[in-house]
Amino acid sequence: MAALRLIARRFLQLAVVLLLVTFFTFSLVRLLPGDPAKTIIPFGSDQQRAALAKDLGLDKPFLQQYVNYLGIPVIKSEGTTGLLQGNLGRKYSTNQPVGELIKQSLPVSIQLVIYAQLVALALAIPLGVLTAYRAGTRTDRAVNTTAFGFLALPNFVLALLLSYVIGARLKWLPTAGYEPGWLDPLFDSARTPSVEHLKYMVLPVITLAVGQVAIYMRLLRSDMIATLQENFITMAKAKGVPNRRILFRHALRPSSLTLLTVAGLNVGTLIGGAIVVEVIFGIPGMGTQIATAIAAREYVELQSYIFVLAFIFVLINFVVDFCYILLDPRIRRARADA
Amino acid sequence: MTVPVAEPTAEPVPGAPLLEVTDLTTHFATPGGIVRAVDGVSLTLERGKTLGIVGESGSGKTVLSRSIMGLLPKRGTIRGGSVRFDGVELMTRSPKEMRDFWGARMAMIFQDPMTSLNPVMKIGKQITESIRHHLDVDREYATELAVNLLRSVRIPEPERRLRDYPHQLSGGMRQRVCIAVALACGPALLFADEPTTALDVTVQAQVLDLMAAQQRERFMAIVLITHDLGVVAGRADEIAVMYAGRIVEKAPTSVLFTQTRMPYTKALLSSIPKLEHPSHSRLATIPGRPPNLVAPPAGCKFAPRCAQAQPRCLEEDPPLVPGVVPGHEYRCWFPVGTPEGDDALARNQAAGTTAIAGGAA
Repeated sequence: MAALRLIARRFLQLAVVLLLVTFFTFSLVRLLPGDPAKTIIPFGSDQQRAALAKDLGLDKPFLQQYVNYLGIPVIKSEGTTGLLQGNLGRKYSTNQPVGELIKQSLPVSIQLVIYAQLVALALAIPLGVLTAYRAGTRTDRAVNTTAFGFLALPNFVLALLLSYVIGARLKWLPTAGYEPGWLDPLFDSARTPSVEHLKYMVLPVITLAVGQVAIYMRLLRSDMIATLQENFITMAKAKGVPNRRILFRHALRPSSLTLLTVAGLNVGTLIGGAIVVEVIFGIPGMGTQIATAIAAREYVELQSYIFVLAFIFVLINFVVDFCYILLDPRIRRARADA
Repeated sequence: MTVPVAEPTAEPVPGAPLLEVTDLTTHFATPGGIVRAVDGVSLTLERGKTLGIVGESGSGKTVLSRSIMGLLPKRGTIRGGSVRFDGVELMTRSPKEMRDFWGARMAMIFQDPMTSLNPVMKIGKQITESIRHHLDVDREYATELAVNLLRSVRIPEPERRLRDYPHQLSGGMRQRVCIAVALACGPALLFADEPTTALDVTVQAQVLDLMAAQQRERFMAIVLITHDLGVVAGRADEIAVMYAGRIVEKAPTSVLFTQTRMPYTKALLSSIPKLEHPSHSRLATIPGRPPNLVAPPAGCKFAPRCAQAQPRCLEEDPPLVPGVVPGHEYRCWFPVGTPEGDDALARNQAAGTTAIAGGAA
């Protein structure tokens, strides 16, 4: 019963978040300087543009456009199709359904972000544990300095450097491009996974992961230092448990809640936010699509991308909440009581 | 079911006492200076016996026990002296070598059962962990042992409790689990650091009785650390009173209570509330606070708070001297219950002052 109420409340929250997100993106997108009709027919006459704007529904009052986009049936509207009906709209210039575009670009970004997170965590967790265990020593300082050095390196610099040295000069890996991986066919059955997929992902994944290692490592380190002061750690030591086991079995789990939260937020942010990396490495993911949509003043396309990303963001936070429960059994009861 | 016991890791020396601590010092390097937390402590404990260590907070009891076990972090800690366990010197052993002793031959119960169990690990895992690590047994057998341990510390429905997390148990139950964890591999020596301080009064006696029962059954020696003389009164064979990182009086329990020599011990004794006192009588307290362990006073460390302190006490540090009864030792120039002591107290009372007040004037 408590669980059902919890889920119900979560869905209510989701609805509120999505309503706010759509309203704000709808407003902000229209505040962008420029005009879609002018971008589509740059050299046409004003009449042609006005006709196009009418076609696209851009001549209607702001609120009516918004209501139509959401797909809320209003008395006068003829055959409402909008978000409520699962319709994400069409791209102005090519008339492609935005849903189709997302099916192609979303899995690309999801794979990129998953790999980047796995690599970042695979490095940050052992390093965080090590620096916490050796806090204040030369090892700690050396690891921290190196990690912060990489953190200070801007994404686009590292991306260009890797692409040039490893791609162009050494020719070990492709400089840019993309081949479908394991996730793409699930979204778009026309695509088949290619063994080349991973080759194209290596450099962008390194670029994204490098900056996060330092952050994740520091988060884990400080939580871990606090945990290592706990009585139960001394108790484990007094039991004769080896250090490695104390660190990874006793201390890591209770120290990883902050790390989990931040990593969750990062996944949500990067799925649509790895714009620079996607553009430099020519990866047709959400970031690239968003950049193009902004440049072309594709209002509806942009709104729908952000809508989908917001949805994913909230969803990831549900998952993070659920992971808290897995990590710390005490939360199980607290959440159930709430 | 026979309970396996961890094999001694080094050849025991026949006839040696179980624990022999000689002149143990434990200092901490801090930004404020060197803290002399334990300052030349010697003690001996035979198999199956109980030693009570009593003192105020900050007297060095906890550091002493952790220093004997070698549990203190290496950095910033300076240890000296000798700790022999079963005739084997422990001071020179690395933490890695000590792991064969920890949990297996010597174990510890901590003060706060609410924080000394891992909150994210099931009870069963926390018990079987050390069994599996120290004894060569499979998972099923370790679980069976854990069930028996929980039953022996009188936890109802032990099979079900194994799958519980610590937060699902009460404080008293958790301390029983801690005892079960400590007893898991049948240690020869158990350190109990204020094991009942965090518990309800009604549960305290139960936990102490449980420890005593386990001690008899396993012929285990216990070092019982407490700030409460009442806790050790009926349970310890011998009591060592600590003050400012040193033992100031040590005696077989009955002797300590009947032939108290050190004024600090006397002050501790008179701060125990007694049933025969009328209700609402004011508790006797010891004025002042324990000395700063970075720069302790030159003479007797207790002199600044002592009712019978004389000028000599402020200048000369009294050595540990033997009393009449074998095994009784104390540090005092003017011992309680001797003509010198009575005289010193009478003089101070007549003058309405102490050495400190007099000296400062």
